[in-house]
Amino acid sequence: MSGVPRPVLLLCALPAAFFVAFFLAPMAVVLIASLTTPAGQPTFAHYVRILADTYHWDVLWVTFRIGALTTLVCVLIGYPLAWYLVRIVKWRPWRRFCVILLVVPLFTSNIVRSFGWMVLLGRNGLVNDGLIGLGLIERPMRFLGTELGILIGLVYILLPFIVLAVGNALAKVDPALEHASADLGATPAGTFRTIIFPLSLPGLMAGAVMVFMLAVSAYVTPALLSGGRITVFSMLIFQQYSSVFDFNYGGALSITMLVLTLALVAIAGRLSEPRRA
Amino acid sequence: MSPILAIDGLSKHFGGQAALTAIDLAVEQGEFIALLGPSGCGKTTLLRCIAGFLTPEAGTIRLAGEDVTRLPPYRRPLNTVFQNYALFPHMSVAENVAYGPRRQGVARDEAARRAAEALELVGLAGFGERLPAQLSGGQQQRVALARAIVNRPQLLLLDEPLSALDLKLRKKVQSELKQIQHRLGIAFLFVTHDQDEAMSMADRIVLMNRGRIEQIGRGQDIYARPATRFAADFVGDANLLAVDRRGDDSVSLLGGAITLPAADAPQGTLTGVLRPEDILVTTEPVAERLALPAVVSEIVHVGSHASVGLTVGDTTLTARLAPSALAGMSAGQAVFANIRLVDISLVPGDA
Repeated sequence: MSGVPRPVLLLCALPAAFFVAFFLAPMAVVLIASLTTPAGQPTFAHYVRILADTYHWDVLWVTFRIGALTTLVCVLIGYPLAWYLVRIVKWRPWRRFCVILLVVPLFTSNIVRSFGWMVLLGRNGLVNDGLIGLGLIERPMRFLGTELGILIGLVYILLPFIVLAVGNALAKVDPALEHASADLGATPAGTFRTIIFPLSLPGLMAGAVMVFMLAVSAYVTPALLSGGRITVFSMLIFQQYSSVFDFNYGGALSITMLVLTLALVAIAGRLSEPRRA
Repeated sequence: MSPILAIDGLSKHFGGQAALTAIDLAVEQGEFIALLGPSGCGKTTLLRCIAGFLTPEAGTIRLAGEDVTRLPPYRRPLNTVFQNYALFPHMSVAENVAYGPRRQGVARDEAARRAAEALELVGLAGFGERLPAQLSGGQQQRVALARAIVNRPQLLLLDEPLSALDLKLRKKVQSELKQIQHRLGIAFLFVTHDQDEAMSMADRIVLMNRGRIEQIGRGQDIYARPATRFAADFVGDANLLAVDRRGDDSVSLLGGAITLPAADAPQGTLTGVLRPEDILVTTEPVAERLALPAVVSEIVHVGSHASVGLTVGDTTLTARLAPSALAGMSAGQAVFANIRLVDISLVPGDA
C-alpha cells in the first residue's frame, strides 16, 4: 500500500482525468492521424510531403516572422508599460483603472476586436484619417492585407499578457535590493541593469513565450486582417480540416507546427538561462 | 580629529507627523555607536536619512566634513548592512560582495580578490560560489557584512542586523562584529531596540524616543545617571518613585519616608529612580542604610536572580536578589528594604 491517504488520491484523480480527457486524448488523436493513411495504415507520407513542399516553408517563415515581430513589439511596449504601472503610478485607483483597461479587452471575443481593427485600419479608417490629418502621409496607407496590419492586430490582442507577466515580476522585486544596490554605489541605471532587469527576466521570458505561442497559432486575427493576401500556418491547417477534410494531412501540419514552436521556445529558453546550472 | 559624521538640527516629517526633531549627533572615527530606542522612535528614519534614502526637511549631515544632506545614496561614502540583509538573490556570494568594488569601477579580477578577502575576514572563505538562498541566516548576515565593508567605508550603518538571528547565535555574532569593527577601525552606527545589545557592544549609546535624542553617553553612565525618566526606564530596570517638592531645596519620596536635598535637581516635576539591585532585603535592619519596613508581595525566579515585589506604604518596589539571599523568604513576610540615598537619582518628568 502506498502512504498516500485515499481522499488525497481521489482529489488528485479528478484533475488527472480532466488532463487526460482534454489535453492528452485530443493530442494523441491528432498525432495518430498524422501518422496513418485514411485507411488506417501507418505512414510517414504526410510529413515527407510537408518537408518537400517549399510553399509550406514559405508560409512557416511568414508565420514565425510575424510571431517574432509581435513578440518583439509586445516586449518593447509592454515592459515600459508594466514599469509605469508598477513603479511610477503611486495613486492606487489610477493603477487599478489602468489594469482594468488592459484586461477588459480580454473578455471580448477576438473576432469582434479584429473586426474593430478592420474598421480602424481601412482605407478611410480612423488611423489613415488621423495620419493624413497630422500631415504624416499624403494618401491612405495600406494596412489590411499587409503583415503590418496583422502585426498591429496581434500586438493589440497579446500586449496584456506581457504587461501582466512583467508587472508581476517587477512587483516582486524587493525594494530593499534597490536600496542595497544604491548604497553600494550603483546609479539608478546601473541598478536597473544589474539588479531589477535580471530579476524581472523570468517574468519577461514567460510573457514573451506566451505571446509568441499565441501569435504563431493565431487564426482569427490574421485571417480577418490579411484580406486573403497573406497566409499563415494556422490557415493551412484550418483549410485541411474544414475544406479539404484531410484530417491526416491536417494532423501532420499541426504536429509540425507544434514541434517547431516548442523547439524555438526551448532554444529561446536555453539562450536566456542564467549562466549557472 | 574631526568627527566622521556630524549631524546638525536634523528634522524629518511624514505627512505632518514629526519623525525626527532637531537631531544633533557627532560620531568620531572608529567609534561604535548604538542608536537605541523603542520601535517607532525614529532611529531607523535617522539611519535612512544618513544613508540617503530619505531627505530631511531641515538640518545638515556631514560625512568627513563634506555636506551630503542632498546627495543621492550612491554618492555617499558609507555602506549599510540591511535588516533582512537584502542580498541579491540572482548573484553568487562572491558576486554579491564584489558588487560594490565593481560599481566603483574596480577591474573584475581586483574586485574578485577584494571580495575573497572580505569573505575571509567574516569567516566565509570558500563560500563564494554559493547562492545566498543556500546559506543559513547567520551566514547570510556575514555576507551582508562582507559586502558592506569590502569598499572600506569610513562609516558603516547597521539596521538591526542581528534581529533575525536566534539568541545564542546573536551573542556569538555580537562579539565577532565587535572584533571586526576593532580590526578595521571603521565607525559603526548600529540601530537596535535591544538594550543589552547596545550595552555590550557600543562605545556610546544614543538613546532615542519619539523622534528626539533623550541622552547620549556610555552605557554604564546612562544606567548610573539617566538624564530623563525615559532613559531610566528604558535602559535597565528601575523603580520610578513619585516625588513631592518641599520648598526649593528638598523633596520627599515614598509618602515622606525619604527626604532628599534637591538644590541641584532640575526644575518642574521630578521622578526618583532606584535600581532593583540597590535594594537590600533583610529581616533585620542593615547598618548605614535607610531601613524601610516592607512586606513581600511576590517572588519571581529568573534563574540567575530573583525579582522580589515589596510593598512599602502604598508603593510597590521591585528588588533584585541573589537566590542565596532568598533563604526562608516567602510572600506576606514582613522584611526591611534597606536603601542608600545616594542610589536615588532625580530626573525630570512624572512617575
